[in-house]
Amino acid sequence: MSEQKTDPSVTASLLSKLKSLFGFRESAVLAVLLLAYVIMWGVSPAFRTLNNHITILKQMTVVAIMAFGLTVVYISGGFDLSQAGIATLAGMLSGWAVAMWHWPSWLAVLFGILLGGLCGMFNALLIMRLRIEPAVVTLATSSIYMGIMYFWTKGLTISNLPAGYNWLGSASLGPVPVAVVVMFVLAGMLQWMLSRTVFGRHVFLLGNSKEAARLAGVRVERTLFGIYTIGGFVSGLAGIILSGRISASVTNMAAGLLTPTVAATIIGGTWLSGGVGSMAGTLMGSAIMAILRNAIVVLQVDIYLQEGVVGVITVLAVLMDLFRRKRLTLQMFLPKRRQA
Amino acid sequence: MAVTTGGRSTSKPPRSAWRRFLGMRESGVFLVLASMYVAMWFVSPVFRARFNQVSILSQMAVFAVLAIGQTMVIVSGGFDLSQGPIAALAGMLGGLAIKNWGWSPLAGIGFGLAIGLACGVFNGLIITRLQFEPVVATLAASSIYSGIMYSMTKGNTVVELPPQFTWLGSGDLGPLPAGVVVMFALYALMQFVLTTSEFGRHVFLIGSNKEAARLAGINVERTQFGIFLTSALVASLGGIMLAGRISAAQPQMGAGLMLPTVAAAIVGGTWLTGGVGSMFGTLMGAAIMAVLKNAIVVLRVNIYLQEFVVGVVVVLAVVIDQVRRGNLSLSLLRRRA
Repeated sequence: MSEQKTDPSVTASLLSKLKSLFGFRESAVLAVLLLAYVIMWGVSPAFRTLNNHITILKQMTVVAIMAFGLTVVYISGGFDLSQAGIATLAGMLSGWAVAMWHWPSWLAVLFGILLGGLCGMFNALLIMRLRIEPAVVTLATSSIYMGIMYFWTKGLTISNLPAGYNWLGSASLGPVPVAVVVMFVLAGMLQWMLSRTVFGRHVFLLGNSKEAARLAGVRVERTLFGIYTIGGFVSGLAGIILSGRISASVTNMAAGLLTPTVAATIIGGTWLSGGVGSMAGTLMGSAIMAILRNAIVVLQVDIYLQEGVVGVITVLAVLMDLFRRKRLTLQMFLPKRRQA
Repeated sequence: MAVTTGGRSTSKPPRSAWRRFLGMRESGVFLVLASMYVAMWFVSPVFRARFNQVSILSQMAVFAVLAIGQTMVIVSGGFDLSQGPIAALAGMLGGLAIKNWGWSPLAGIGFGLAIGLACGVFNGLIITRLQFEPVVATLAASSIYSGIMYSMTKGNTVVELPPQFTWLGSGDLGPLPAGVVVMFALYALMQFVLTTSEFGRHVFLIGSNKEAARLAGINVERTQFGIFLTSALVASLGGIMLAGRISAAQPQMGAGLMLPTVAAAIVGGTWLTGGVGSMFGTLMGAAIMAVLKNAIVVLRVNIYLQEFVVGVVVVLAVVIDQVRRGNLSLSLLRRRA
């Protein structure tokens, strides 16, 4: 008797679990990721090798880590164009500290990450105290950061960095690169912060409506400060991983990173208007960008097309975002029926 | 909110010329420019040299031409991040058409401008038809344009461009460099368009309040399309001028154009929130940036500081802008949240 009673409820709960899996906002991203992966697996033998998989994972770390920060910024309804500048400054000056001032590696790494955080705080101060548009602030500050970097290093390349410094960028824990572990740990930490802490809830509230958040007692300024500081910290970390990976600090090392980071974040389901986003989504978005980049290399497509492809993907991602938010519907493109 | 730039004192009793000058929004910018210029004139003999004056003007011409478009975009409440890549794409492909495909120099210039036009149509379409945020749209489009540029040129520099092609950048028209004459002519033309035409009035109205403009029966989409088209077109012209000035088309040449362009517009008194700005102000803003850049070179300040200084100037200009508009008072800076 009791068995007959529990049976339908079990299937019902299974069904609802399945439903919630497909209703899960990130499931579309996951589907795209799987599709891209399966296609590449089928098409290219070079793609299937273990080495190539590790390469993809390694390559996605920098974009993903920067995109985590961007996700928090976007959820709050902000914008950040200075991440690449911060990453370059942190990577260059920490490399400089090791090579020219003979700092121990751990101290230089810490210095780079803190420098990134400091840059983020500077962004935050300008944005909240001076009430300037985030896009303009971060455009201006990114040239300030690049300017400081050029001024300090005179455009030199710092090579032959010690193994201790390179640990984050190129060492492995068993078969798994350290940077990949860092990426996953960071994703977990930030996701916990977003969904379990008061600060995280405030970030979402801010993105939904700044005014409502203010009226509800959210300390908008303090939250903004936290958000852009996180953006700075992760960019500093990304810069160190970047220079650790090639064991050198180069002035233009982060030059092409802005667009893939934006693309990864949007593809991962973060709304540009704020209020929605998750680390899992961004992680998958970064994986999609990495597979795409890898595909261009593995399939021997013209390497110069890479940047153009990233741009097209970004346009498609924004389109997806607009449809998702119902800012754009198919009816809008039918003639004569746009508005009653 | 001021919608047009002039005509503010028409209803008031006549005042002295000096009073009228101080009442103009651009007077502050003008005073900054004049005092910088006078200070540099006294401090540095190199600055006074005729060739240096000409070089300031011709350096300024390139980003000042781009700033025409950026000013219109910012006045309408948007932001264009794609001007640099469009300039590079137009300059590169114009040069490539001449050197590799055997086109005539004039056709090369036409091709470059046509590319600018095409980029403008693309920007305009995704912003007006697909409702992209201008910042995001132009960021993504930038990537596409540089991608096209790199895949067509393989990152090579196009050198030995014919003199007819480089005339815009390094030729002379009477006593002045041709590019400078083009710059002044374009500024006069666009100031006229902005202040007298219906399109110009719509640009300001959209920037002041988009919804109100829509309700007033203005075709917001068409106006925005025109704005981004103009912005891309002047960007391609700037790219051709730049390639002409260094008499070679380099893939990276658009990279440094973005910031001085935005700086010129903001220093020149364009409000970042839209609705206010003038060509005259931007021209002086561009001159300030050019004198500043020149001062760094002439006074032998560390050349690597140049980018830093430009960034700081942009921040300062925005702060001054905010204070002037009353959005920011000194007490606000001190108050804790």
